[in-house]
Amino acid sequence: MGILTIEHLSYSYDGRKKVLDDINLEFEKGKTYAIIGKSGAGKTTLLSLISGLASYKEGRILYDGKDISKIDKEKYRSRNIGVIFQNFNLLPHLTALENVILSLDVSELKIKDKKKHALEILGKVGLDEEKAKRRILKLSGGEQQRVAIARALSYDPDIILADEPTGNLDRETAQQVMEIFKTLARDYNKCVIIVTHSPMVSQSVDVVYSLQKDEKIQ
Amino acid sequence: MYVVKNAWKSIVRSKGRNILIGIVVVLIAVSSCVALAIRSSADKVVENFKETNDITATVRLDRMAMMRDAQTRGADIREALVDIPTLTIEEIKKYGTSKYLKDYYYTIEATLDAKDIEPVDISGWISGPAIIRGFNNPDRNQGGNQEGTQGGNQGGIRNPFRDFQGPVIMFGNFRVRGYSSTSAMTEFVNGTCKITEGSMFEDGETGNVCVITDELAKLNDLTVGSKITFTNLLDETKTYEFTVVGIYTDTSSGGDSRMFQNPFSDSANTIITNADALYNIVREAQELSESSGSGGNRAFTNLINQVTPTFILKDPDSVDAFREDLEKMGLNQYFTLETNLDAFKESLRPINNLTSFATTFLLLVLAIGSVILIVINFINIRERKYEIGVLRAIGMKKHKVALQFVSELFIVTFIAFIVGSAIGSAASVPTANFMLKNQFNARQEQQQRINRNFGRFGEFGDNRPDVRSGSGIFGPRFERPAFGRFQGINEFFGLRSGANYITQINAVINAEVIAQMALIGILLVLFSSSVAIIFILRFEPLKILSNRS
Ligand SMILES: Nc1ncnc2c1ncn2[C@@H]1O[C@H](COP(=O)(O)OP(=O)(O)O)[C@@H](O)[C@H]1O
Ligand SMILES: [Mg+2]
Repeated sequence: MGILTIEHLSYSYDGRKKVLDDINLEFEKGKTYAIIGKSGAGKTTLLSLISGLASYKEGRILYDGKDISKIDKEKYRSRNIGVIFQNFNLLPHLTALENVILSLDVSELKIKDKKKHALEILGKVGLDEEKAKRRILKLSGGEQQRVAIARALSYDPDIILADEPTGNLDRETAQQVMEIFKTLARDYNKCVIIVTHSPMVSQSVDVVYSLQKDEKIQ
Repeated sequence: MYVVKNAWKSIVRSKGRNILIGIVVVLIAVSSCVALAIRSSADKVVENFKETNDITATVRLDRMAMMRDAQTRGADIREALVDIPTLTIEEIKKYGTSKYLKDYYYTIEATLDAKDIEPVDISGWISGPAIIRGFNNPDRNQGGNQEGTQGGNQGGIRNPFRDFQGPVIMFGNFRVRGYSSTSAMTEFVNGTCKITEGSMFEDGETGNVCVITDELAKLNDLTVGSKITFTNLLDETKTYEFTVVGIYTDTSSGGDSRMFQNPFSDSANTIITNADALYNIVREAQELSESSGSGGNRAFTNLINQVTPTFILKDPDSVDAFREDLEKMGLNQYFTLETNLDAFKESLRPINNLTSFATTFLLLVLAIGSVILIVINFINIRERKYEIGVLRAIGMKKHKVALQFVSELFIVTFIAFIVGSAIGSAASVPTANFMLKNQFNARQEQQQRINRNFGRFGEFGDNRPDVRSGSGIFGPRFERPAFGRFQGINEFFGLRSGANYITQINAVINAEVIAQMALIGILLVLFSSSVAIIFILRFEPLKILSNRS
């Protein structure tokens, strides 16, 4: 039994055609996963369901054996799962550091020195203190991506969800980011789920799921 | 509490918006503070005014109504007026038990002759009983139908004009006033009259003691301890001995002495005693009068309206109830209740206008202020939709997001409110007095206009002709006793219009105002943050995933 299990999940936006139809997927700790599919295949929709931002009516999603529709979703989002959104969803008027600290605040975890902790995490994803103290708007796309990753990691969740993390990055940066994800799975025993349509990503993960065929490719 | 910390950071970050909110709140706070301070102080002033100024009432005979009634009955008007109903002290004491009264007192007035003293007489008239024939119009009693004559001295019941048709009324040389209480002696209360020798008799004194004017004392060589012997006009054998216990000076006396066509009209010939002592004399005179004849051929003496009650009401609002009470207790239909309620209300008018102005102003400011704050917050929340989405997406609970937004508003409002209240409390006193002054001036101009309309020389605050020296013995003399206290204070203010306007207010920020301000502050925060709260509670965080690219 993995950390995250999706069973017979179907979803449609208010009465329209089904975006997801009877999805069954299994995720474990310590591995990297890629969910692939064409644009409009429902990858982001699936991610929003896994992260609890949208609620499903058919099928279920189990986190650690528990149906996430029945648990405290805010607590789940702020502690158990780290989401790196396609558009990052960082607060632009805050600094990188402040964005990370905000997440730590929201998680309500007892961390003595949040600032020090946040700087450490930012350091791990390759952002030094100078950059950490810059406002989001003054960071490049790749740097913002790293801030989003740092924020997702800051409260040490079991699952890292990333929506098209390499989509806007150049090849070299994309590879660096992928390295971070692999390290997280390998060295920190995280379950890393990457939503992507990039072959480069799907080649470097442990497991690839295709939304079109509902099947395990690798 | 990270929510509050973040709220503070957010305030500092978006200075422009919060300064705008702050300015609006400061303006609201200043206005509310001034308005509330004015209201509360005005209430205090009114309260205080009600405590220190009495609603006084008296009953007055409505002769016009009597005449009209006589006319419709086809009766002789003259005769109807002869049988004028009179108030007795017993009646007044009965009315005095009304539950609407705080206190009551009464004065009796009679003209008497005295055996052993001379009146101050500078009119050139031969002293002695004045006799007035026919029906007496009190408003014209200084007019032509008044004749002086030397009283006969045959002893027994004398009626020098018994050959004439119609009732005869006789006057003595001295105006004797009996007071039931020293509170009724308004001239002494307000300082027009002052004891210069001896002292005023105490409240409750019923013995034959009196207080006389310094002029009368000088003329007759009287001192404290001297005796005066009054005689009954209808029967000289009946005498009453009074002891002088005090001598007073009347600062309002003098003036135009030609007006005094009878010695008793001269204030120098006023003798003050207690109501009971005088009533004893009056009662005997009345009995004599009744036995002297009937109908149109009676001899009268002393007064017809001789007893004047002054009722002091507990509450300005109970005038009508008291009137009903009087009717129930059997007050003759021809007596009407007169109060100083109009003057009382008039005095409070500027302050009441101020209060209602302050209230209207307050409500207006709050309404406009709330609308502005709601609009600002509505714009604010729309601009911060993304922020709300992010906070929700990273797992912040709805109520905490709402709390953060409300906290921001609360902090800004709180600071602005304190600043505004400080400015407001400093501004409230001068503002209140300025507005009150305007109110007062408006009333003053109005009063001056009215005075001019009546051809009165005095401007507002000027002396009116003295009621006391002018009006005759039959005239209603209520102004003084009934409005006496009022006038006392008016004189203090240099006003004599009957109404004692309040021209100063001491606007203060007290606990009540602070509590009201706090309430307004809280309501403002709730009101303006309601937009944010509703928006946040209804916000679907999923939107930020699909709406942003
Ligand atoms: N909020 C929404 N309301 C209605 N339809 C939506 C919404 N979000 C996405 N869709 C539709 O659902 C389908 C899947 O979208 P999405 O999950 O974003 O695809 P992907 O991420 O794979 O490109 C698309 O056809 C899209 O138009
Ligand atoms: Mg997508």
